[in-house]
Amino acid sequence: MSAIEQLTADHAAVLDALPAGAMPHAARRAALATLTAQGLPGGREENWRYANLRPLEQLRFTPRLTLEAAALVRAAELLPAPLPGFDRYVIVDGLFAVALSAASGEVNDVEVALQAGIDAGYASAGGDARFGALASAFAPQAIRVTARTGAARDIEVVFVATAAGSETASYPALLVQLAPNARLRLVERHIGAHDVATFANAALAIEVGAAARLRHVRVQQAGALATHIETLRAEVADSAEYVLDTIALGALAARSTLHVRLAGRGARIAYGRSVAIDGTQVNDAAVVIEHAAPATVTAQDYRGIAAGRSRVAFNGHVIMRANAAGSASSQSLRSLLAGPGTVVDERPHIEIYTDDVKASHGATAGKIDEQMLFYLLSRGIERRTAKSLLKWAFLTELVARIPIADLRAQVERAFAQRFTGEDAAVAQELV
Amino acid sequence: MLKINDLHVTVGDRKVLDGLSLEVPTGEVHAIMGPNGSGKSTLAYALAGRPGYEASRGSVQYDGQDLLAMAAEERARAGVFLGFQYPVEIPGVNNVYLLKAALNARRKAAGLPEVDAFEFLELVRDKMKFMQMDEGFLSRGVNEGFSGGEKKRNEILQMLVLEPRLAVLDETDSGLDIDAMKVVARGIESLRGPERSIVLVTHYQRLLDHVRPDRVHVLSRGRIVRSGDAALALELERRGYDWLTEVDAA
Repeated sequence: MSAIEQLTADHAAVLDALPAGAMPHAARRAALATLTAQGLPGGREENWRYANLRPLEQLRFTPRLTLEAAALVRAAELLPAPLPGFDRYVIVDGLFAVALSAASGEVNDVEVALQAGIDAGYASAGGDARFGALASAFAPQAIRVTARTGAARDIEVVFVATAAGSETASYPALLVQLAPNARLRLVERHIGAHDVATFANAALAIEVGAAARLRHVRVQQAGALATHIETLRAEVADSAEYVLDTIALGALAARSTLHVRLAGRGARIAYGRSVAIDGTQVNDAAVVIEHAAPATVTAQDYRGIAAGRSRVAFNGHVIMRANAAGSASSQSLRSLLAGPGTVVDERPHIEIYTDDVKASHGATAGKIDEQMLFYLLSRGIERRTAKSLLKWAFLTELVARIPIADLRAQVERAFAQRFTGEDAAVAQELV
Repeated sequence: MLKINDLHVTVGDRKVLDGLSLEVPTGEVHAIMGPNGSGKSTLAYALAGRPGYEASRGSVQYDGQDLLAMAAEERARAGVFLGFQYPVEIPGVNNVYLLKAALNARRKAAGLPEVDAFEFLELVRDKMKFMQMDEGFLSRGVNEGFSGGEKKRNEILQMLVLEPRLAVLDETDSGLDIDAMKVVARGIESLRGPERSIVLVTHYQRLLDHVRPDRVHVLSRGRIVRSGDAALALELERRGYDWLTEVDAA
C-alpha cells in the first residue's frame, strides 16, 4: 500500500473518533482531499529533492486519542530540565499532558488553550504546505497561545514522541498569536524516544501583531529513528519583529518547511538555523521569506555540519514583492563537511520585483577555514585540537545569540554529545 | 637566533622570495622594509609556516634548529610568534580560551606544567591593562567585531602573554592612529631583551620612531638589497624606495 493509500485508510478509520471543534469532520475530509489530490511530495519536486520521505511508506498515520500512564512515565523520563521563569506545557504524542505541565497561574496577559485540531489555511497555501494539510486532517489537538497587548511572557512548549502505545504517529500543533505590542519568548522543543520509529508531523501557525516582538527558539531533538516533519507559517505585521532560532540535531529523517510573510511596513525577521547531524541522518529545510510590504527586513543565517554519511540541505528563498520598496535582505549560509561520505547542499535564492531594495547573500560549503586554522596553529595549538575548536565555533556561532542562558547551556551540551574523540574533549572544555 | 640563507619561496605560480639571506642575532630588533609586493609578508608567512608559503630552496636556522622542517604549531611552541597583518576573526572561540590554550601549548613544549587558572587571569589582566584594552574583550570571540586597531592590540597582547623568543610582526603599525601606535610600540619595546629577537616588517618608518631597530634591511624583488642602521629607515622615509630598487634592477 502506498503512503497515500495508507493515510486515506487510516483517516477513514479514525475520523469518527477525532474531535470536531476547530476542525469539523467535513473540514478534515477536505484537508485530506487536498492532500490526496496533490499527492505527497517526492524527490522530483525541486523543493523536496533533498528530503528523505521514504520512511513514510512504512508508516501508520493514526494519532493517539487518549494518553496512557505508560506514555506519561516515558515522557517524564525524557523531559529536559525546566527553564527558570518559563511556564511549561508538555504535549505527549500530540496530546496535552497536564500532569507534566507547570504554569505560574498568572495568565491574564497570555492565554494558553487547547483546541480540537488545527486549520491554518494549509489547504490553500500551495504544495509546500501539504504536510500542514495532513496535520489539519489528523491532529486531534492544538495548543493555542494568545498574547494580549502589552503582554510579556516566557513560555516553553515541549512535544514528546514516546510511541508507548500502538500508535507511532503524532501531530504536534501550535498556534501563536501576538496582539499589537505584545512580547513573548517562546521555546518550542521536540524530543522523543530513541528506540522506536516515530512519526511527528508538526504544524505551526504564527501571527505577530503590529509592533509586537516574538522571540522563538525551536530545538529539534527527535528520537534517533524518528521521521520529523514540520510546517510553519508566520505572518509579521507593521513594525513587528520575529526572531526565530532553530537548533536541529535529532531524527533520522527531518524536514522543515517555513513560510514567513512580512506583511506590514517595517516588519522584520531574523532567522537562524544550526544543524548538526551524523550517521545516516537527513536534515532538509526549505525556507521562504516573503517581503510583502515596504521597508521590511530579513536577516538569515544558517550553519550546517554533517558527519558520517549524513546529508544536510538548506534552501533559503527570499521574495521581494513589487510593494517591498526600501526592504533589505541578507543571507549567510555555511555548511561544513565533517565526514567522508557527507552531502551538503545550500541554495540561496532571491527573487526581486522592485528596484529599491538591498539584498546580499553569501554561501560557503566545504571544509574548515584554512585561514582560521593557520591562525590557531600559529599560536601553538595542536592541529587536531584546532580543528575541533573550529568545528565547535562553527556550530555554536548562532547558539551564542540565544538570550536564555539555561537553554543555551542545554543546547551546547547536546552539541558536545555529538562530538566524538578529540572533538569531544575540546567541546567538553568549552561547554 | 635566526639565520636565513638563500631562501626561495613561490606563492601560487609567482616567485616571491628569490634567494633571501638574513641574520638576526639574539637580543636584536631588525626592521624589514620595502615597497608593496617586495615579499615582506611572504617572508613573515614562510617563517611562521603558513601552508602555500613553503621554501623551494634555501634554509632557515632558528636557535640551531631547522625551522623549515617544523610544522607551524611546532614553530609556535618553540617560541616563534607571528603578529598578523590581518588577524582573522574566529567567532565562537573566545580570546581567553585561545590565550590559555596557546600559553599551555608553549609551556608543555618547554616541559612546564599547565598554568594555574588564577595566575593566568592575573597575568592576562595585567597585560591587558598595559595594552589599554578593555577586559570585556576576553569573553568575546577571537578578534570578533574588533576594529583594525583593536585587532593589532590583540596581536601584541597575545605576544606579551606568550613571550616568544622570536617575534615576527607583519605590518603591525598599519591601520593604527598615532595613539594606538604608541601603545603597540610600548608593547613591543617591553618585550625587547637579551634573550629575544624581534623582526618588524613595515612599509613606513613611523613605527621605528617608537621602536628603534638595531638593523634595517630593505627587501626588493624577493631579496635584501640594502642593510644599515636606524638611519637607513630615515633615509628611506626621505627618498622613497625607488633609488634602491633601481640600483637593484641595474
